Amino acid sequence: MSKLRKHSTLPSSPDCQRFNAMLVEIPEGEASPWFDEHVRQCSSCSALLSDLKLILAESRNLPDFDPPTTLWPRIHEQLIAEGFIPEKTKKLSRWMGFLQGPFFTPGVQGAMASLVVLAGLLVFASSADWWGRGPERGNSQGTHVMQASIVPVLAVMEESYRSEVAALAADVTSVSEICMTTLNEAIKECARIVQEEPENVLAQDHLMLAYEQKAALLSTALQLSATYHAP
Amino acid sequence: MRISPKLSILLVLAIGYALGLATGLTATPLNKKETVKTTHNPRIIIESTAPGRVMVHGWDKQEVLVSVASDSGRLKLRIEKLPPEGPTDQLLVSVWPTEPNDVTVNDKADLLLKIPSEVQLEIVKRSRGPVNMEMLWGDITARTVSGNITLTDVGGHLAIKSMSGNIYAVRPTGRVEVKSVTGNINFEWPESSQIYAGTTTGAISYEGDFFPRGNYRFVSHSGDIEVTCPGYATFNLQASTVRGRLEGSGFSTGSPRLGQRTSMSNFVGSRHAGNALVQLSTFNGAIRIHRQQ
Repeated sequence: MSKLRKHSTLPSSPDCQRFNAMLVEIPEGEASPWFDEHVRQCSSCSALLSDLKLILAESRNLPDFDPPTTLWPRIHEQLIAEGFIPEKTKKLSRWMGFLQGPFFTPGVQGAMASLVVLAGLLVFASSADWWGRGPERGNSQGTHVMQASIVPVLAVMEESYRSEVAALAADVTSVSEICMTTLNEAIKECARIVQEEPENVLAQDHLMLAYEQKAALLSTALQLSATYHAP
Repeated sequence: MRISPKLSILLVLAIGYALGLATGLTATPLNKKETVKTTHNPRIIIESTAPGRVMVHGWDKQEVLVSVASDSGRLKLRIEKLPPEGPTDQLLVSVWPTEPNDVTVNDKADLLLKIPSEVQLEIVKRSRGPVNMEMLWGDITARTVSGNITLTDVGGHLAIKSMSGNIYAVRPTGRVEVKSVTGNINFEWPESSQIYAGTTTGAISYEGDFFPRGNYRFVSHSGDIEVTCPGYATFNLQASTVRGRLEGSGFSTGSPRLGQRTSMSNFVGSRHAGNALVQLSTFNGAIRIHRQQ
């Protein structure tokens, strides 16, 4: 950019003003004979044109940046708020925010809140390294405490799921029930080993994983039960 | 007035026929094709409540071709675009019952789409039927109930979940996270360095090499985990099972305990001092590692 020269801020003559008005379209497009003639005669406008061409050439070497994915929804919401876009199209953005969807029933929202709590508990329960075998692992007392926290949260989620089950298609309900039974059996099996072998850290990890999978299953079923109301 | 049994049967048949005719006249099968111009890498959401296939192919055009085929007159295709005019940046394609809250509609519909390869894709399939995706290089999120999911030649971050469907990933190149409760998970020659697969009763199979500094973690409760890698593969292996069995050979390690049935079997070993990390764990499923010669 150091190659750029300084120009006066205002065109000095009517011809320069006309040149300035045409400039927006000219640098990369076809110039008119009058435009070319003026560039030849006016050193100031000629320098300005050269600099603009230089800027365009330099800008082609700049990397492309993707705007954040939230940019358009934000602009869109603002345009709706300012009345430039009719409210009607708002339903798409509502659909796009599937997980935060305001169309979730209170039951689903409650279950989602429970899921957040549960996620926190599970993150706390599982070590950063699944394979870690440090002395802090294998603490069956800790696992029992964690279980005592996780089980009620899962129960709340299951209750929400039961209240929403009528809104689920028969396919979803039957498959969810089979998966729920499978996971309950897995939890039971892991819990039994944890009780029998308090130092078995791998069994504890699998128990936490089974809880996590059950929570994921419940949240998926609840998401699938969310209905999108037709216009 | 008395109606004879014969007449009453005829009346019932006539009313039934009239009702059937009326339904037939109002219920038009759903067969539609639509093209939507898009930006270079739009966000596309595909949702179907109808049983049937969802097939998505990437192409190099900046447009989406949507085809839906169904004999049902109780389903409708909805396409919503954002912005409403000009090339679309966000697109919603959905197949729903004409009465959106009618969960009893179980009519089949096949949904076929051709979309820009660089798309950010989200698929929600609320009923049975397979979902196939091919030649897509953007991020993909998919959730299905019982349909199998097949991903072939896909890049980007994959976040795939199915309750009971099997998941097949053929030559994925991006970061992969796949989860299923009862479905099996299969990987064929992935070109990805970050893969997580988790299932409860399904089996996990992996056939392919491991990338340097890659991280591969497969977890199953009762399903088996089977890894088949080329003889030249280099990686560090950590395999653990609570009640399952570990089977494998050809690893240099200080204390291999493969094949033993113990209360908790661990195996830590390496192949050619590789720096990819392969972590396998089951509760009572078997873990098998094969080397191709």
